[in-house]
Amino acid sequence: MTPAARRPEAKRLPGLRTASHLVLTGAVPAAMLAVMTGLIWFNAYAFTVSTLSALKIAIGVVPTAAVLGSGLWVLVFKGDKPLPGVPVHEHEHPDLWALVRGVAAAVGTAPPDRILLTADANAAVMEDTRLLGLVAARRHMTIGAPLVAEMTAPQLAAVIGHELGHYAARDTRFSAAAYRSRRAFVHTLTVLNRDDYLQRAMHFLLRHYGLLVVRGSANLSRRQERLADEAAATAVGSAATAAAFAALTSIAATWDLFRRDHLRIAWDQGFLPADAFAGFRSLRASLGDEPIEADEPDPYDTHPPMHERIAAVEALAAPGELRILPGEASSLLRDPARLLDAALLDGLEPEARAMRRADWTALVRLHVLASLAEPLVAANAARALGRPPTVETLLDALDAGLLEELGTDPDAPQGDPPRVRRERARVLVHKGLTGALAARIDAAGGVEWAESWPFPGAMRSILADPLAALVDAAVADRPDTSRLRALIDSVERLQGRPQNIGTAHRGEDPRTHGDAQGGERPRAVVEAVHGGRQPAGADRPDPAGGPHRQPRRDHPRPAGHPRG
Amino acid sequence: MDPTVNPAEIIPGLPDIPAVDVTRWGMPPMEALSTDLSRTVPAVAAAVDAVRAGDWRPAAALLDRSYGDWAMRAVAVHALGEAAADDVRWLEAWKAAVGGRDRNLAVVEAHGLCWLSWKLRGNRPDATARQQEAFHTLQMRCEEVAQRAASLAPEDPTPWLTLIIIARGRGYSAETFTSIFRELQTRDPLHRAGHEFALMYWSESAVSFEPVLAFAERAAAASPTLAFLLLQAAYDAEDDFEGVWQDPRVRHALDTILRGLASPAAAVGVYAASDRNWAAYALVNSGRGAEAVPLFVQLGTNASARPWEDFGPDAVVVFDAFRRRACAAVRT
Repeated sequence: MTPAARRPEAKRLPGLRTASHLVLTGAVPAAMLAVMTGLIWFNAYAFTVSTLSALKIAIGVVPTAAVLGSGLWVLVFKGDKPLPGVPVHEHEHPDLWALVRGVAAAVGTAPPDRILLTADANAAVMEDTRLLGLVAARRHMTIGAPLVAEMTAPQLAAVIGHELGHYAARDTRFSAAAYRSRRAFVHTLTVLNRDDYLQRAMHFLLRHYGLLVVRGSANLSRRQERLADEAAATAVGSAATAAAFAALTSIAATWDLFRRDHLRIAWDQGFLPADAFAGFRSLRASLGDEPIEADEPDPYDTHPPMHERIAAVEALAAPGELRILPGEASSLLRDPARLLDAALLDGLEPEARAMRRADWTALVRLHVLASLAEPLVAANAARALGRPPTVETLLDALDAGLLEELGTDPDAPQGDPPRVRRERARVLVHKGLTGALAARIDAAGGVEWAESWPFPGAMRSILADPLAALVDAAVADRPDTSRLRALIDSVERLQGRPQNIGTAHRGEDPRTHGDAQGGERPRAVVEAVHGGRQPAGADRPDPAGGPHRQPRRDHPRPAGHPRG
Repeated sequence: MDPTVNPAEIIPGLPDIPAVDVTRWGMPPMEALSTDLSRTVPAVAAAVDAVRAGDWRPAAALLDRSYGDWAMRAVAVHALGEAAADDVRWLEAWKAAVGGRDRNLAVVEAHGLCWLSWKLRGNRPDATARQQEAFHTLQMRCEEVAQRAASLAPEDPTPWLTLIIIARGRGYSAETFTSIFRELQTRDPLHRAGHEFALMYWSESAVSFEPVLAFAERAAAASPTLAFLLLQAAYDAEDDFEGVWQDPRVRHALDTILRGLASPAAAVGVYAASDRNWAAYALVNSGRGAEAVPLFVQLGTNASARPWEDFGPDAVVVFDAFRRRACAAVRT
C-alpha cells in the first residue's frame, strides 16, 4: 500500500481544494478566451455568408474582442513590474546569503536568485510568473530594512523561513502552484492600470470575482499560512519563530508611525535624519508594548490572526534544524548602516537623495523653530513700524498698543465682534512672539534640544520662568514687555558661552558644565512635539470642532442650545 | 414633487418650495424672523440687553436668583456667554466689582471663552489653519477657567455643561467624555442641555444610528422632558440612514413631545420652545406637516433654536422653508 492510499479521507480534501482553486483562478481567462474565440469565429463565419452583415457584426465584435484580448494579455502575459529595493549581492554580504540558503534548504525549496532590501516592514518571496502563476521563472526575495534593523538573526531566519515555506509544497503537490496563482491573481488585480480604459474594464470585470476567489479560498490560504509557519518553526525553532511573529506586528506598526511622524520632521527644511534607524529603534523602545492601532485590513489578506499563529507555533515546540548564531540580524550585513539607509532612500521620493543629513536633536531644532515661526506677525510688525521684524520691533509695537495691527490676519472672516477680533490677534501674536523669541534664544545658545521619544524631541531653555507667562504679559491688554526685554539682555550676555546652563538672567554667575544653579534642572519652555501624536493619548488627532459632521450644518456656534 | 424634499436644502440658491404665504396662517413674514438666542426667555433677554449696553448687574442678579434652577441657569449662561464672547468690557467691569472668585461671574466667563473659541474658528469648512489653532488655544483656556468655575460652585452642573462642550470640541476619548458627563449627571440627572451636547458627541463618533438612539432612549425613559433626544438623534442620522423618521421609537418620542406640549403645564417651561422646534422639524420630515402649523404659529418670530441654528447663516431660510412645507401639507 502506498503512503498516499493510507491517508484518511479528510486528508485528501486539501488537494481537491487547491485544485479547485486553480480552476477558479483559471476560469476567467479560460472563459474570456472562449468568448473571444467564439466571437471571432462567428464573425469570420459571417464573412463567408454576407460581407455586409459581417461588417455590421464586426462593428460590435471588434471592440469587445479587443477588450477581452488586451485583458487576457494583461492577465496571462503581463510582465512583472520591477521590484523596489536595493540589491544585496552575495559577494558583498555572504553571511545573509548563507542564512537564506540554509533556511531554503531546511524548508525544502530553492533559494532566491536575488535578494532586495526594501523600505517596508515585511519580507516576501516573488517569482516572475507567466500564465497566472503556472510557470515560474526567477525567484526574488525582498527583506524589509526595518526587520533587519530590529530583529535578531534567528528571528529574521524565521520570517524568511515562512516566506520560503510557501514554495515548499508541503501540503499537496498543488499547494505551491495554488499559492503562486493566488499571488499572481492578486498581483494582476492590483497592477491593472486604471488609467487605461481597457485595463479598467478588466478591473471592473474581475474586481468582484477576484474577491470571491480569494475569500472563497480563505480556508486554503489559512492552511497554507499555517504550513508555512510550521516550515519556519521546524527550520529555525518555535521560540525564534514565535518571537519573530510577535516582533513583526510591533515593527510594522511602529514603522508606519515612524515614517509618518518622525522621518519627515525636517523634510520641509530639506533635512533627513543622519541615522534614521537609530531613531526608529528609540521610537520602538519608547513605545514598549503599547498597542498601536492597526491599519485598515487588506481585503486580500488571508493570514490568520497573529496571536493564533504564535500560539500554534509555540505548540509545535520545534527545536529547530538549523543552528543560527544569536545576534542582531544587521550583523549579517557588511556595513549595515549604509545598506539600510540606501533601502530607506529607495522607498522615499527621489528628492530625498539630495537632502542634507542631521542628527535627531538638530532635526528637532529645525522642526520646532520652523513650526513656531509665524511670518505673518513679522511682516505686520515690519509694516507697522517700518523696521526689520526683530524681537525688539515686536515688543516696541506691543508697547505702542499695536496688538491688533500685529495680529491682523487677512484670511480671517470679516466683521468679527470686537473681542473676537482682539483675541484672534492675541493668539496670533502670542505664537509669533514665541517663535521669534525661541529663535533668538536658540541663536544665543540658550536652548537645549533633546530627543524625547516617542516624540522626537523637547526644547529646554535656560530660562527660570516659563516663556509662555512672559509672552502672556507682553500680549495682554496692558502690555508688560519689560521682563521679556530683560530676558533677551541676559540671554545675549550668554552668547559665546554655550555650555552655560543656569538662571543667568537673574545676574548670577552661571556655572559651566553642570546643572542649573542649586541643582535646578533647566525648565521646559516648550515641550515641543512635532506633528506626531501620542499613541495612547486621550485626544484624537483632529478634534471635531463644530456641532455637526454635515458641512451644510456646520456653523460657528458651540451650541444649538434649546431655550424657550 | 415629494413635499418632504426642499431643493434649496440640497442646492443653495434653488427656490424654496412651496410658494405659500405663511402670513395667511398667522405666522410672521420671513423678514421678521430672529435668530437672537436670548429672546426666548424674557428674563434672559432683559439681562442680555443690559450687558450689551454695558450693565452687568441684571445678569448677576438673574444668576443669583436662579441658582438652583439649573435649566434657567443653563439658558442664561449660554446667552450671556455669547454676549461675553462679542464684547468683554461688561465682564471686566463685573470682575472689578466683585473680584475673581464669584461663582456667577466664573461660569459666564468660562462659557464666554467657549463661545469665543467657536467664533474664532468660524465655519468649519472654511476655517484656516490659523483659525483652527486659535480654536484649540481658546478651548484649552476655557477648560481651565471652567474647571475653576466648577470648583467655585461644587453643586452647580452649569460649568460641567461647558466642560462637556469642550470635551466634544477637543475630541476626548469616550472614557474621558463619560467621566465628565457623569459629573454633570450627579448634579442634575435630567440636565437637558448637557444631554443635548452629549448626544452630539455620541452622534459624531458613531458609525451607526443604533447606539445614539439607545443613548436617547435611555434618557427619554428617565423623563419625557428628554424625549427630544430621539428627534435629535434622527435629525443627526437622517442624511445617512433612510427611514429614521419612520422608526417606531422616533415616532413614539414625537407623540410624547406633542402630548406634553398639549398640556398647559408643560407648554410654558424654559424649554417649551425647544420642544416645539424639534417637534415641528420632525413632523414636517415625517410627512405630518399639517400638525406642525400650530407649532410654527406659536413659535412666531423665534427662529433661534436648534435645529435651525445648525444651519448658521441659513437658519432663517431653513426655518421659513419648513414653515411653508408645513402649511402646504394642510389639505384645503
